Amino acid sequence: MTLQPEPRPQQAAETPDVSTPSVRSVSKKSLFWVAAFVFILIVGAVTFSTAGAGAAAARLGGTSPNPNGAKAVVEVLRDHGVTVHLADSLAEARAAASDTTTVFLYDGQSLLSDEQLAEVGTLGGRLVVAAPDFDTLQQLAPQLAMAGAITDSGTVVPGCTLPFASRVEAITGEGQSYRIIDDSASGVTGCFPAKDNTYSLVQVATGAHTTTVIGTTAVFSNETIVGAGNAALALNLLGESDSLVWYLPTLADLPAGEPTLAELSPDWLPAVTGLLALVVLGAAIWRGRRFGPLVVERLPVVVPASETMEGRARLYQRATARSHAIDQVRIGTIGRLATELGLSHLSGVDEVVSAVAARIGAPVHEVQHTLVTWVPATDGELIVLSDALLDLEKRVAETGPGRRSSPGHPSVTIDQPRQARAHGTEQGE
Amino acid sequence: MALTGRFVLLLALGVLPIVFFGEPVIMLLWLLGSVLLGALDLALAASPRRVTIERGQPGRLRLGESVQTELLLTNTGTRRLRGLVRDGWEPSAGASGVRVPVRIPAGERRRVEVHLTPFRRGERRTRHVTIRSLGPLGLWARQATIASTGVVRVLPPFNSRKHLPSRLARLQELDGATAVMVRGQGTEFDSLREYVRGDDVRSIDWRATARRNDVMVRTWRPERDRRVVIVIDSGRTSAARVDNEPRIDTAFESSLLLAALADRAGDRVDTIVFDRRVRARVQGASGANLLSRMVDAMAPVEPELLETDWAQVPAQVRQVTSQRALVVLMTAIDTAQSARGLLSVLPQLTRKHTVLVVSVSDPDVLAATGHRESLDEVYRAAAAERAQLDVARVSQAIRQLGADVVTGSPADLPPAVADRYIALKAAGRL
Repeated sequence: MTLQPEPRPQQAAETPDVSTPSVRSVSKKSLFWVAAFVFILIVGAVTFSTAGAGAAAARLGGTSPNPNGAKAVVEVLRDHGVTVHLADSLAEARAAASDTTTVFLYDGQSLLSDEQLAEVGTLGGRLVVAAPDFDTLQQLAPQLAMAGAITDSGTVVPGCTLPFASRVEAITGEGQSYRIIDDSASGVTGCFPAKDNTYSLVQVATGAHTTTVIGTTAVFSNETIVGAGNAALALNLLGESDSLVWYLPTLADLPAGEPTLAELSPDWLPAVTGLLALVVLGAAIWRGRRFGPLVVERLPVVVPASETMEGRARLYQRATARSHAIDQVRIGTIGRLATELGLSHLSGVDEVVSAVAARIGAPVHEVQHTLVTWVPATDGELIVLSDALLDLEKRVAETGPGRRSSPGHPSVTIDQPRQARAHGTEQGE
Repeated sequence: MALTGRFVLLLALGVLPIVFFGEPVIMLLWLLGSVLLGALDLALAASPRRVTIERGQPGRLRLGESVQTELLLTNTGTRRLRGLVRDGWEPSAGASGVRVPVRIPAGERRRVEVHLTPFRRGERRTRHVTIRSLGPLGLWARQATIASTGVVRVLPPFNSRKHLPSRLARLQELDGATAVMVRGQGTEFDSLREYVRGDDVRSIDWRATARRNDVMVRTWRPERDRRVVIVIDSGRTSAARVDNEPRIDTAFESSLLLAALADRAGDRVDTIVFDRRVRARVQGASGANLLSRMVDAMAPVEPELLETDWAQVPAQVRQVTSQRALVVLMTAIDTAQSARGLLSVLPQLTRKHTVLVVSVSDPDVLAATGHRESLDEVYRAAAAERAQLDVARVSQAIRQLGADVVTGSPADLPPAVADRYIALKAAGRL
């Protein structure tokens, strides 16, 4: 392709017929969809920002007004002059706790390690553990064992003489219950018994320090604190001393291990990754933008003429039509042999058989067997017979008087159309 | 709108300042800067909508040849246009260089040349031209597609014309050697010349000899001004491919060679391409005009997926000529069932005309009869023999109805038809 300058046209040509839509018409058409998309984005953003606040609050959180929070009990204790420290980590709890402090622990996600639990066990003067799991129980009150969950929604009565419990009529029974396994140990008192010597609340006194294990969180949560004598127990239990540490372990308590991948990688990595993603997007647009519309071309049907032949061959094979198939081959062979031997097309099979036998000097019955009577019983025989027919043609061609030495079989394919045509000429004229 | 590789590269280069300064915020600045530059570039690009297109129509060419087409692009806008042009030719038009770079100053015109080497017969078209106009920085581009139709007619290749000189030579032998030929009904008196040794004594014209002092012989020439009517079947059997060439293309080759030969021999050739209606017709042309009109008429014809209506063929032939003629039917002979229509109308044609039925034979079928090494191949050979028997039976039936049959592989068929024509002419059977 070459470019050559052309003289400037004398008059301006008419406006070209452009099929690409202009930016204006595209923006008019897509205005609705763009507006709809932006609207959905705004609604989504607003919904996400308002819903996100509620989802972040923790179970039994001291500032959470949700049904599963514990803002009610914390605020009531504050009104009664108890200093409540909300601790998110062990360090905060340690800093806020003194010898007389009551420490409340609820580790719903089992974040604390054994060592941290052991440390929690020494904090303050009194420790209240709500719904501890197996590990927590092992560390803080090894005298107790888990004794299954109480699932009925009834209430349990104190049944003990501990001061904070004796003034309570009943509490919600639903939750975990505990069994005292070390009977000989002193200072272990079970309260709120269920059946079979199991208790919803157990206090273990070790010297001046007491650990109270309570199996239910219903006593503290906003939703259920007003039921039965829950509020009375919660206030009595937590309000015994002047200060309370409300400790809910968070992710900050997890031990700091090896530095994470994010800490190891340089600052610019996210920016570069983002830029490279945009580069890939740009490259996709660059290579993917079509240079004008697709050109459609009506293509012809492609049907090989030998399709019917192939189809018939597969039909023979599927029907195992051995004798029928070999008969077709024999008719063709006999026709070619008759031409080779100079016989008329109208001559009978017996004539051809005897002429072939005479030419190649083989017994007549043998030739008869190959050309007519042999019915192949197996696939192997079919191939053998087919080879015998080929062989017969070859021998007849070779023994012909004054013939060329090459066999006269159509395996010499170039000869065939000419033969057929020469034959046609004889017939036509 | 379109982006260029240069813009992508510019974006990618943003990695360097980000890494160098280690400030993630640079990424946003770089992105903003790149997009602003791109938008500026786009705003400064010349409008591809304001380009008018004129087209030189390339006309006709034979299949296998190349032709040069030209586009004249006029920039009627006010800015210099720099970009790429794509002419939307069909894939089988074989256009060279799909994207041509152009630079057209405002108000000027430039010529773009596209070379076409089509690989399919028929009319190859383009309906539109797409122009991508780059901005001065080459970052972003404007793009528009402008309607502009171009057509190139691709004629049948007529490869068999290589056989023409040898056949013409044989025709001339026929012309001069008639003194020794049988004087039958088909030869006409040509001229008188002096006797030379070897001439047939029976052709001595004694009256002329008496007038002159020398022995004169009469010479004869083959009959002239006979009619040849070629009927090409464009029905569904012509769509089948033999040696990866549709049967109809072989029929076109054969009829072109036959027409060229018959025209030189002084006969009148008429051609009809027919399935259920006439797809192409060439009548009353002769000389150089004949072949040109024939290839032109044949170029856009594709086989229709219809059964040919043979019952209408005698009427079509009668429309062409009421004289005795050589009617050449270019069709396919497969099985007795599919040839039934042809066989039923043959008596009507043979009563008045000399009829030649021309059919392509499949070399694959012939080859299949010889390969019999595995079970699959034995069954294939059986099916091939069967197919050949069918063809032989139909050929026999056609001959019994008084017509003649010529078959051959696609390469052999055109010269075979020409030879048969010469044989018929020599025998004076036209």
